[in-house]
This record gives sequence, C-alpha cells and structure tokens, in this order.
Amino acid sequence: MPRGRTRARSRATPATARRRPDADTQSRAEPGGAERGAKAPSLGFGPEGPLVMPDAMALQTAVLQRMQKVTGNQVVARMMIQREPPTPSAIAGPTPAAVPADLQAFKDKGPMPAAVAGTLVQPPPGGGFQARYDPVAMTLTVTMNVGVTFVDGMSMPAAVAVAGHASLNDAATRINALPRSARAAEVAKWKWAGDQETWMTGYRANVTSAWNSAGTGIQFQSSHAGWEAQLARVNIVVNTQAAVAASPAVPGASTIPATAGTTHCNATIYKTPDDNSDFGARGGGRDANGKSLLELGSGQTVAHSHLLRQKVLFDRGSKTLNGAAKAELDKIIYSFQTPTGGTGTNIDVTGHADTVGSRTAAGEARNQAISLARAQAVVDYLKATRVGGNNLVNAAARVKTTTGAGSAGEGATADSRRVDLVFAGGKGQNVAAHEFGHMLGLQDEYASDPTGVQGKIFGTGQPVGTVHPQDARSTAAGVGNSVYENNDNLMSVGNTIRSPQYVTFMEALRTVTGSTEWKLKA
Amino acid sequence: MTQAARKKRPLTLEYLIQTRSKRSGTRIHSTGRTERLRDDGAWERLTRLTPAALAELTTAVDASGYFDLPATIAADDGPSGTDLHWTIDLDGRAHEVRAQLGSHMHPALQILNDLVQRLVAEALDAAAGE
Repeated sequence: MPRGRTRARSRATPATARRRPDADTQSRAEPGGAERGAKAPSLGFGPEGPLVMPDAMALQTAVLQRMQKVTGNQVVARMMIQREPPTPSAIAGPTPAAVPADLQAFKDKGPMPAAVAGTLVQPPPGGGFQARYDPVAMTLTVTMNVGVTFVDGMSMPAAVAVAGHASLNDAATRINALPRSARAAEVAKWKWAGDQETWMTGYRANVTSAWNSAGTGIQFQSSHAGWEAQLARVNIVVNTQAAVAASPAVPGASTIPATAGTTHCNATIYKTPDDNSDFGARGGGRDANGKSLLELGSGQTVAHSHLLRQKVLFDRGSKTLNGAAKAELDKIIYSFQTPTGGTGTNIDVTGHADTVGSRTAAGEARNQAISLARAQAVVDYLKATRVGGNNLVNAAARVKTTTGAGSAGEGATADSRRVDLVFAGGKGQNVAAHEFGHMLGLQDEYASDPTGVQGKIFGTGQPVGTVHPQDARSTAAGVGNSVYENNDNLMSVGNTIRSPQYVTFMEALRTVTGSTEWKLKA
Repeated sequence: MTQAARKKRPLTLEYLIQTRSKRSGTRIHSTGRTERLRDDGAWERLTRLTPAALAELTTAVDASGYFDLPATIAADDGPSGTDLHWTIDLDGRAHEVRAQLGSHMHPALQILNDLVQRLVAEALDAAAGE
C-alpha cells in the first residue's frame, strides 16, 4: 500500500473511526447516489430561491433513510444525535454483501480486549507493553508507560567537573582541561534546568513517529480467506511521568493516565548537550521490579549516531594509503563484512582534498585529481585486502560510486585530506528509537568482534553473519529473518525499521485477537 | 598514609571506556605521565600526576581488591551500553578486567573510577595554575 495512503488512514483516531464506520461506504456510493437523488431536500431560502443541499449531504440523508429501513428508527436516531455508536453490523446496510458474515462478527466483537488498558504483552525479558486491537479502525494500539528519573550528566563540586556516568568521563576530563573560570558554563549544559517536560514531549514524539506504521509503512493483513481487507496498523502511544522523587523538581510534568495500565519501563535520563550522542545508552533488560530499563543521554533524541559514515585520512599531497589509513580500513572491513549468503550494504566512496593550491584552476584540477585518486586507492584496498583471513566479500558489487569531490567546502586541515565511506546511504541513527526497540523486546542486531579488539563497532560480541537469537521468533511470525550485520536497520546501526523488527507487534496482534491468521501486508 | 604506601611502587594503569560508537580512555604511567585516548585512537599527553597522587592511587588499588576481581564481569540487569576495560600493573603484577556497566558499577571499580577522575581533574587544575 502506498505510504501516503497509510498515513492518511492512520491519522483517523480509533474513536473517530468508530463513530463513522460507514465513512468508506459513503464515499464509494457517493457518485451514483447523487445522480439518483432526483429530489434534493431544501435547507431554506436564498435570494434566488431554495438553497440546494450539497451532494454529500443529500447522499448522507439517503443513506440514513436506507439505514432507517434496515435498522429501524432507534439506530438512526442515535447516529443523528451522535450518542453511543451503533454496532457495525447494525449500520452495514448500504453494502451488506461486501463484508463476510464471519468478518462482520469479528468486527462486532469490538476492541480486543474490551478493557481500555489492553492486554499486557511481555516479550522476554522486559516489562512489555499494553496492546489492544480495534477491528473497526483496524489499529493495533501499543501503549508503553515510562517512569522517568532525571539525572544531571555532570556536576561540579569544588570547581572540577565530575561525570554522572562512566561514558561521560571523557567529557568531564575535557571540561577540566579548561581554565576554571570557563568550566561552570560548560557544566551547565549537562544539568537539567526545568526542561524535563520539554524533553519528555520530544521523546514521545520521537519514538512514536519512528515506530508507527505511518512512519515505517509496515502493516499487517488478515490471511483468513475472504478477510483480505482486514488490516492492522500499529499505533504507538507513549505515556511518560517523572519519578515522584525527581530532583530537581519537574514543573508541569506529564502523567501516565490511570486507564493506561501498569508502568512498563523505568528510565534514567542523563542530561547532555543536544548535539551530544556519546552516552552509553542501553534499553531493555529487567530491573528488580520486573520493569524494562532505559538509560539514555538527553541529547540522543536529537543528535544521531553516525556509524554508517566512516573515513580514512591521507598525508598532505599524497594519494597513497599510509599505515594508519590501512589499519583504519582493516577495522572498517571487519565491521562491514558481507554476511554469508547476503549481498552486504551499498558503499559510496568519496575522496576529498584540502584547499591548499586551489586558488587557481590548475590547482583545483590537481586537487580534483588527487581526491579521486584517494577514493580509488580506498576502493582498491577494499577489493584486495584480506582482514582476518577474509577480504570484503562482494566488494566490487557493493561499491556503487567512487567520486572525487576536490577541495570544495574543505579547509586546510588533516580532516580535509580524507576519503568518506558511506554505507547504506549513511543515515544517522535515532538512538532513542533504537533503545525503544529494546523496550519492545527486540535485541541488538549490530555485529562486533567477540574479543572487543577488531572493528569500529563494539558491544554485541557477535561477528557479522551470526544467526540472531531473534531469528526463530521472526521466522515463526512470518516477518523475515534476522542475522547480525552492520547495516541500516534501526536495531543495527542505521535508522530503518523493517519487517523483522515488527515481530513483537505481530506476536501481540496474535495474542490479543486470539488468531494466528495474520501476515505482513505486501 | 603509611611509610610503605609512600614508597614509590611501579604502577601503570589503563582504563578504557567503550560505548557502541566511542572508545575513550585514560592511561597513567609510573612516572605520573597521564594520557587521554583521542577519537582517532592515538594517545595524547593530558597532564602529570604528582608522586603523592600516584601513591594514593597505589593504595587504593591495593585496598580495592582489584587483583582478586574476575577477568570478566557481566552487567547485573540486562544489556550493557558501556563496557569498561581496566589494565593495572602494580609491582610487576598485571591484571585485566573487562566489565559491562549495568545500573551499578562493581564497587571496586567504582572506587577506582572515581579516584582516577578526581586525581586527573586535580592535576589538570594544578597545571592550569588555579
């Protein structure tokens, strides 16, 4: 289904959809109905005679009259004064043959479960989420309730910066290398100052837009014969509430509604500058109270992690890889190896030159040539070099572009004499959305060296191509397979949510509907 | 501080902190020379610890029970976003510890983490003449 259409449908709230279950029927019936409407009812009188009712309104009246015959006065009367909505079967008059009886019965059951809070679904090992499917709105609502503790990323007793978390030690050291008079202003960027509610608002918007079907384009479809029109679009609702003992106090803080079920996750948010994504974030797990864990730097809802963009540096005037550049490329090859049976991600290689000598056309031509030669040297190395007994499998096919950018936009620094390697388009990762995946019960899919020595990416200790423990679940759910690979998947090092990452939603849908007859909608 | 503790003992310490995308670290040589790991993987001089600071660090390493720690320590409550890698060589005895950081750091490592941070900060402060 085109994404635009998905978005348009998902904007309708379940409540709205329930009030107007016949909306689609009306729009389909409209043209013919208008033509057949020989007598347009009058609304009143204008300067040139009776006003004619718009076609849509005439049609609505016609539909209501037809429904009145089928369902009786009481149902129509209820609709007209917009009281409690009638059951879908009661108002299905215009196209009764369009919906099979068993599907209609399924829709008539109403939201599943009936309880507004939904069903607690707990993929191991975390605190889970609430799930509820509305068969009329065709929406699977996934609700995550998050209790938030706010912690300063940095404090400054006795005029020196002290990190609030080990992953921020280096930032504290850099601040302490400043003159004492300059430190307070820097440390202030790492302290909460009444901006907690703003952060929670941003967090909710961040993760819901990332994971909703409207954002991913992924939805489910019934595989029951005759039910092809029955869909399930994922709608994420995140409720946040500051911990009661929050210090400093959180002004005007949001709350978790009483009807929203239990708290699923206890989060600790460390204040960092908005442009900082260095915090050692983690999500998932399970705390002593059986809740999921989230530890996040506040800047990680804004600043992205850029592991799909790597670079190597060249000596001034040189188009030959030096020892450091080769060592860096070895790490890059290790991390972005092609998994067995896979094709690997696309790679775009772009060389750059510094601006030295670029004031003349001849000088810029030389810089252009050297930037391209640098890019070509990197590509040749990728194709030829063996790292850990393997070269970059499928390298020739994976390298899509080899470009020399000259010195445009560059300065005269060492960083200007570089080659960029961009994997899978190079989009930065929304770290908050990645960690939310853990809270949904998903595991990391990025690959790293088990010894923690080789490569550019660290953490899972699972080499590229290792079958992921989630693979059995995602295969059983019919949403695809999972291997460890450094690619553009959100649960790897990129920002794209694909069908295997919807495995917990598929499981939840099957749980709340009591049916396994669901599949990915193509 | 005892006389024995004040006596200079050969100590080198390297402390790496690794998140998924960033590796940072501090290295302290027996001379007191202290280095910082840059983003490009090279070590750069940061400051120099005084003999008194080195002695305090040596005493803390002894007292922490560092050499009795296991070589690997898993996070106590789920996946880790930060891995710690300590290497300490004291009196010719070397020991490496790789620890995943959970909600709480291992108490012995927490003591050493806080002390290294404080001593480096004090040395930087002193070097700045403040």
